[in-house]
Amino acid sequence: MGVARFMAEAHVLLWIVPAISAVLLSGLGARLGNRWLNALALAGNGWTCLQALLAGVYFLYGPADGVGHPVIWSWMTLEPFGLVFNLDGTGAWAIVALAGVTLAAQLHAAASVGRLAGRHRFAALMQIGLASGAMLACAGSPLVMLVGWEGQALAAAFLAGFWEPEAGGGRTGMRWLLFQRLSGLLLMLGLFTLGVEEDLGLGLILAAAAVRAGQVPFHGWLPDIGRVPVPAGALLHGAWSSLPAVLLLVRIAPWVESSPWAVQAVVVVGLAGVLLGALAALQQPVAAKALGWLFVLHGGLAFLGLAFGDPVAALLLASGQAVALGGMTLAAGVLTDPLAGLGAVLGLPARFRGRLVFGLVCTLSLLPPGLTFLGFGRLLAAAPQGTLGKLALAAVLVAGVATGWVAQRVVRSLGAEPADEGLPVQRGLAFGPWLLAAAAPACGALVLWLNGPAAAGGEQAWPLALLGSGAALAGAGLGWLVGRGRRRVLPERLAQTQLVTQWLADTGLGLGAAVVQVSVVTARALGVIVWRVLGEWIMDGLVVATAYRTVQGIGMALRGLQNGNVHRYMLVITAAALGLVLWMLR
Amino acid sequence: MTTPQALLLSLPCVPVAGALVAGLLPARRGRAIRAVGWTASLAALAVWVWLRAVVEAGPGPWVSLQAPWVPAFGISVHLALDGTGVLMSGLVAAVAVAAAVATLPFEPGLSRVHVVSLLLAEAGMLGLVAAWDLILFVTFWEVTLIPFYFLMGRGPRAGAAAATRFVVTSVTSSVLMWVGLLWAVRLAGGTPTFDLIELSARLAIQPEVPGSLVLLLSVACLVRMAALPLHTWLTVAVADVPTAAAMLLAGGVLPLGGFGLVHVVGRLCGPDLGGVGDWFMWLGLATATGGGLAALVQRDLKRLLAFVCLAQVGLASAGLAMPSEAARAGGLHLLVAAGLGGAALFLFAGVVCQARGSQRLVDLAGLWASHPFFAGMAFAAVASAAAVPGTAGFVGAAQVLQGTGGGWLGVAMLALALLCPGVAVVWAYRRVVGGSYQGDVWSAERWPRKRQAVVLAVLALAILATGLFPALVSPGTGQGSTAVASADTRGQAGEGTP
Repeated sequence: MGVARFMAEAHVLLWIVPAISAVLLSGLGARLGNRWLNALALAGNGWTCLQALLAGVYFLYGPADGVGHPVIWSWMTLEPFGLVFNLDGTGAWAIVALAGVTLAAQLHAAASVGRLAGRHRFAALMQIGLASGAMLACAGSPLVMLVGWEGQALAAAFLAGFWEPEAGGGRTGMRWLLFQRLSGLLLMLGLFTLGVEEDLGLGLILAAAAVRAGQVPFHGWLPDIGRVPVPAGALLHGAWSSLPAVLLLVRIAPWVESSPWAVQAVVVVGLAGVLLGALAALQQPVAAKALGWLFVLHGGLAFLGLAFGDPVAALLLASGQAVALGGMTLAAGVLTDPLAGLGAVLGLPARFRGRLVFGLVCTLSLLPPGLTFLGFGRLLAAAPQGTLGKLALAAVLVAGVATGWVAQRVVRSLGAEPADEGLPVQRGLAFGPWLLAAAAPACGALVLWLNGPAAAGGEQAWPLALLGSGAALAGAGLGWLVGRGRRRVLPERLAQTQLVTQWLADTGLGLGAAVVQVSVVTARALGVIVWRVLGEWIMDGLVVATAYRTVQGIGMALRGLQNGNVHRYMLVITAAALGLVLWMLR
Repeated sequence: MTTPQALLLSLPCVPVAGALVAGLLPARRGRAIRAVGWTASLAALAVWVWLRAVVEAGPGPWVSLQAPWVPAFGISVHLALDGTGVLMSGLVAAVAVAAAVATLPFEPGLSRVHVVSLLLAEAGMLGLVAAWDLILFVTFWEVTLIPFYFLMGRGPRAGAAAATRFVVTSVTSSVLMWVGLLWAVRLAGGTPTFDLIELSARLAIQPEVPGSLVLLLSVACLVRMAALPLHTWLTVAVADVPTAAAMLLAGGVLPLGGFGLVHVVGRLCGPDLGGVGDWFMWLGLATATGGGLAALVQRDLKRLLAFVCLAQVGLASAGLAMPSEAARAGGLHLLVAAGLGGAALFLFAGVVCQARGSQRLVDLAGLWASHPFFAGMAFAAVASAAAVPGTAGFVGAAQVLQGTGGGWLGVAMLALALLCPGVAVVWAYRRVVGGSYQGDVWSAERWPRKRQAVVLAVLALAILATGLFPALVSPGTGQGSTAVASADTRGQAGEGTP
C-alpha cells in the first residue's frame, strides 16, 4: 500500500515521464538502435500504465475507503491560469485505458514503421499525446485541462499525416485538426463562461465533447480515418477521442445532471450516434470505414451512460470502446496497412493471426467479463423506466448486432483478399492486438473482482447485459448467414432494406462532409473577400490609387501651368467654348 | 540625476551611439560594423534589464525625467516609463537584439546603412515608448520611419516599393496624429502644454471629449497596427523586406501601434475612448477575423504569417478597446505575444525562404527531417499564434475572452478570430516541416546557423515563459494600464512626476 500511496501522491509523474520520454526520443532517437528506441518508448507507456494502475488501487483501498481521494499538487496558483493537478479514481482509470491502448499502438509501430526514417519522432509524438492525455485526466484547473485537450489533438494531427503531409493521412489530419481546433475553442469558451452564464457554458462544453468524440453532426473527419498510419488510427478510434470527451463530460456531470435540457441534448446526441453509426457501419464495404462508424456507435452509447446519470457506465463504455476498436484497428491493420511499402504483412500466417485476433478483440470486449459488457450492464441499470429505458435496451441490442455483424464482415473481407505469399512475415505486428484482446476481459475481470457484481449494474442488470452479448453473437451469425446466402435468402427485400440503410448512411456521411465543406468554402470565400476585394481592389485599387491619381493629376496640372503648356490648352479650350456659344446663339 | 533616470535616458541613446560608431566606420569593415550592431542592441537590452531591476513598481510612472525644451510653447523633454512602458520597451529591446544577432551576420551584401538603420529604428521605438511629451512622442513616431525606409528598401523582391508604401501610410498616420494632438491642446485650453499628464488632467475635467478627436488619434494608431481596412501596407511590406525589417515590423511597429492607443488615446480620452470604445472593439474583432480568414487562402508563407500577425494584433486592439480591466490586460498580453511570436515567425520564415530561395508554400518541405531543433523551436511561436494553452497567445486570448461584452456575435467573432489563424498557421507549419527532405534543393551553406537557432530558442522560451507564468507580464502592465485608463489615477501619476 505504501508504494500505491506514493504512486497516487506523485501523480505528476504520470505526464512527466512520457514527456521526458518524448524529449529523449526526439533528441536522441536518431542515434539509437531500434531496440533501445523501442525500450525508451515502451518505458514511458509502461510506467504510466503501471503507476495509474497502482494509484487506482490506492484510491479503492486507501484511507478514503473506496471514494476518490484527490491529491492536489499546485505549482502556481494564479486564477484563472493556475497549474493545478489533481488525480482521483476516475482519472486513474482513464489513464490506465489510455496508456494501455497507446502501449499496444507503440508495439505495433515498433514493428510496422520501425524501419522508416523519422520513426523516433513518430514515437515521440505518441508519447506527447499520452502525456497530454494524462495531463487532461489529472487536470485540476481549466488551464491544465486545455493544455491536455489541445496537446493530444495536435499530436494526433501530426501523427495522422506524419509520412504523407499533403495526401491521404495528411488530409485526414487536417480535417481532424480543423475539428479539434473548433473543439478546443468551444471548450475554452465554455470553461470561461460556465461561471457567468451556466447554460451557455454548458452547451459549449457539450459541443466540444461531441466534436472530440466525432458524434453527429461533427463526424466529418471519420470517413478518411482509414488512411492514417495504423497505430495512429488505433489511437484515434477511441483512446484519444472518445475517452477524453467522456472524461470531460464526467468532470462536468454535476452541471449536466442539474440541467434538464443538457440531459436531453446528451440523450439525443447519444441515440443519434447509435442509430446512425449502426446503419452506416452495416453498409461499409471497407473495413476501416466500418470501424469508424462503430466508433460513432459506441461513443453514442457512452454519451447515453452519462445522460442516465452513471458516469462509471460512460467511462466503462468509453474504455471498452478504446480497447476493442483500438485492437480491431491494429488487427485489421496487420492485413490492410494503408502505407504501402512499409513492411506490412500480407503473408498467410499473419492473416491467420490477424483474423483470429480481430475476432477475439471484438467478442471479448462484448462478452462477459469484457469492459463493454460491464458498460452495457451499468447503462441498462441506470436507464430510467419507461420510454428511455426501452430506448436504452434497443440501443444496446443495436450496438451488439451491429458490432457482431461488422466484425464478421470485416473478417470475411480480410480473408477474401488476394494472398501475397512472397512477402516476409514481420514479427511483432500481432503483439498489440493480442495485448488488447487480453486486456479487454482481464480489465473487466479485475473490475468485477474489485467491486463485485455492482460493477456491472448489479445482478438484475446481468441478464440484460447478456442480451447485448447475445445480440453481438446473433449479429455475427446473421451476418455470416446473409453473407453466405445473399443470393438465396430474401434477395429483393434485403436489397430494398440495403437501399434504405445505404441512403441513411450516405445522408450521415453527407451531413458530416457538408459541415466540413460548407465551413471551409465559406471561410475561404470570406478570406478572398477580405484579401482580394477589400484589400487589393477597394483599398489599394480604389482608395489608394484614386488618391495617388488625384495627387498625380494636380501635380501634372501644376507642371503644365509652370511649363506654359496650359496656356495653349486654355487658348484652345476658350476658342472652342466661344465657337460653341456662337453656334448655339446662331 | 538618479541611476534609474540615467538608465532611462540611456535607453534610446545607446542604440543612437551605436549607430554613430557604425556610421563612422569605413564601409569595407563589414565585420566590425556587424559587431557594433549587435553589441549596441545587446547593450540597450542590458540597460533595460538594469533599469527593470532598479525601478520600483507603482501606480504612476516608475521612473521619470523632465527638462524644458521650448517653454514658450509648453514643450519639454519628458521621458518616463510606467508598467506598460517598461513592458513594451523590454519587448522592443528584445526583438531588436533578436533581429540584430540572428540576421546581421548572415544578411547578403550587408551595408553600413543597414546596421545604422536598424539601430536608429530601435532607438526611435524606444524613445517613442518613453516619450511623455506629445511633441516628443510624435517626433519619435515620425523619426522611426526614416531608418525603416532604408532598412526595408533592400528587400529580396520589391522592397523599395514596400518601403515607400509603408512610409506613405505612416506619414498619413502622423498627419492624423498631429492634427489630433493640436486639437487636443486647443480643447484643453489655458497655457499651451504638450505634457501628457497635464493635458490628460485638463481634458479629464472637460464635460465631453469630441468623438472626432478620438477618431483622429485612434485612426493614427490603427494605421500603425494595420487594422482593417488599413492593413494593405503590412502584407506587402513583410513579404518583400529583409528578415530583420520584417522582425522589427511584426515585433515592434505593430505592438507599438497598440501602445499608442493605450498611451495617448487612453490617457487623453479616458478608458472608454471617449464613448466610442465599442466601435473600436468591433473593428478589432473584424480585423482579427478578417486577418484569420485571409490567412486561410494564402499560398505565400510570409504573406500568410503577415495575416496571422494582423489577426493577433487585431484581437489585441479589441481587448484594449473593451471596458473590462481583464480584457485590457489581455490586450497588452496579446501585444507582447504578437511581438515575440511575430519576430520568431518571421525569423523562421526568413531563414527557411532564404535557404530555399522561394516563399511559396509548395516549394517548402522537409525541414523537420533535416533541422528538427530549428523546426521544433518555431513551433512555440506557431502554438502562440494558434492560442494553444501554455503559450503567451493563449493567456492574452483568454483574458480578452473573459472581458468580452459583445454577446453572441462577439463571442462568435472571437472564436472565428482564434480558429482561422490557428488553423492557417499550423497548416503552413506542417507543410514546411513535414514531407520529404529536399536535400537536393536546400542549399547547405544557406541553412540556419547555430546562432539563428539559438535566437529562435530564446524567443520560444520567452513565449512559453510568458504563457506559463503570466505574472511575468501581468502585474506591471495591470497597474500600468489601470493608471493609464483611469482618470482618477491621472492625478496620482502627476504627483509622482518630479
